[in-house]
Amino acid sequence: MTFVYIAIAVVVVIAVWAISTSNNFKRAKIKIDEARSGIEVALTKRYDMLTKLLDVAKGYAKHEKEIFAEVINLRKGMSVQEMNRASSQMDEMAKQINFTAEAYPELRSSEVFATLQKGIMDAEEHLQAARRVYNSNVSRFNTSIVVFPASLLAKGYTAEEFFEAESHKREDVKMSF
Amino acid sequence: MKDQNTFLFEEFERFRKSKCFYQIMIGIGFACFIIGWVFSSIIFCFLCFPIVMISTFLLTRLQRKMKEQLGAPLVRKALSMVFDRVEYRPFDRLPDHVMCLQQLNLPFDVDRVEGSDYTHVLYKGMDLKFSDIKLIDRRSSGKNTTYVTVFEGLWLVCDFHKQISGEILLQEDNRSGFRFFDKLGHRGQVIETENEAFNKKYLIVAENEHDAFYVLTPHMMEYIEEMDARGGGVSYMRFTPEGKAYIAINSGKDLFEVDSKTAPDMMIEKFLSEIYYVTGLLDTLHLSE
Repeated sequence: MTFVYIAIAVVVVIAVWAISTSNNFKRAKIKIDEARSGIEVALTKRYDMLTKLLDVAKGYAKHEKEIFAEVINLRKGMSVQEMNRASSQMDEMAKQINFTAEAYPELRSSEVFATLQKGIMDAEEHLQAARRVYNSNVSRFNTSIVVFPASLLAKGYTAEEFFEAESHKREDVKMSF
Repeated sequence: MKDQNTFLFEEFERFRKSKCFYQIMIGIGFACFIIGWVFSSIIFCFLCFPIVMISTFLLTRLQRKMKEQLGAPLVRKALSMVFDRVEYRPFDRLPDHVMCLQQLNLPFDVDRVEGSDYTHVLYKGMDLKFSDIKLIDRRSSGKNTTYVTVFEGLWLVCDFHKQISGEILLQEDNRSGFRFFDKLGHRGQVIETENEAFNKKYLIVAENEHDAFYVLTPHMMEYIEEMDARGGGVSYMRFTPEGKAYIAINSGKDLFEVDSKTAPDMMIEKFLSEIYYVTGLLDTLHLSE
């Protein structure tokens, strides 16, 4: 009889552990999805600010033809690669606007430009925060699905992709004297 | 007419001599008490007792007067050398509604709040209030009641320019973290950043994970560690959606204390170094940017 009780207790413990582990995986997945939508929001915010800045820049740089022609596609439910691509395109766009601003001092010194630049910096900080939230959740999830014994229940799950840092930020800093 | 410096030096000399006199009187009182006790003369002991009591009372009053008449003008002078708009009240502390003691979720109970050196200034366009704070906890075991100082140090409230949707709390002493989290209740979640060393050293609780990562950038985490090293004590921080940062450092430091061994001109130097301690903390955190 004792053996039966022990067996039942072991089965109950295993069942509780399995349910809680499985729920933890689901929770982690939901958190990753939330974090991903956080990146989308931050990307949209940054894009809106950049578009406004672009309009201001276009007003000053009327003679420049075909500047900033690239269209950035933003939509709901983007994959990590798509978000990475959109982020890189926005970096390029910001670079072009700054490059144009270099040639137009009156643009650089305008109040609207300064305000929008501040807004873009803030949007970039939000994007960076969203990226870090996402990556930390992905890191936790990826670790949990490979660690034994939880890995036994993680057969249906695959490792999530990280949202990478912008390529130019990963490059070595070139210093010239 | 005497100039300000001569007056201050004369006042300082007067205070120094009086303080020395009262200290000698207390010493004599104690010595007589011991002599009386050794020679079993109770009357002698009783006579010495009022000497010690009166001298102690007069010494305390003198020290308060010193702070008011000598220290306060010097502190104001030192503050106006660094800050734009100065309000200094030597015997006041930060009011309760400014301190927001409960909201900081300190990991200990507090029964009484004491403090001094209320300072309200403008630093690099940032509204800044700080004062010395002493938090005392009343502990009873059976018939015995003791008062324990659980916090003694700087309490600082300043503007914080990042817009966040919920509160963020940060506590250096990670060991008492469980209680800290309990106090915050359902509103907060423990945040783990990508910086393992930082996670080990600090407990971060935030209402919104994104806000925590937005405020605690990799640079900010470095600044906080640097500030802690400068602060010289366990620190507690709170960032609010209302745009305020609360920093409490349990360093045991007492700012703007008047010392009868330090001459007025040297005292200004001492006060200035204490002011730079405060501004150094803010500059390290880059809060004015």
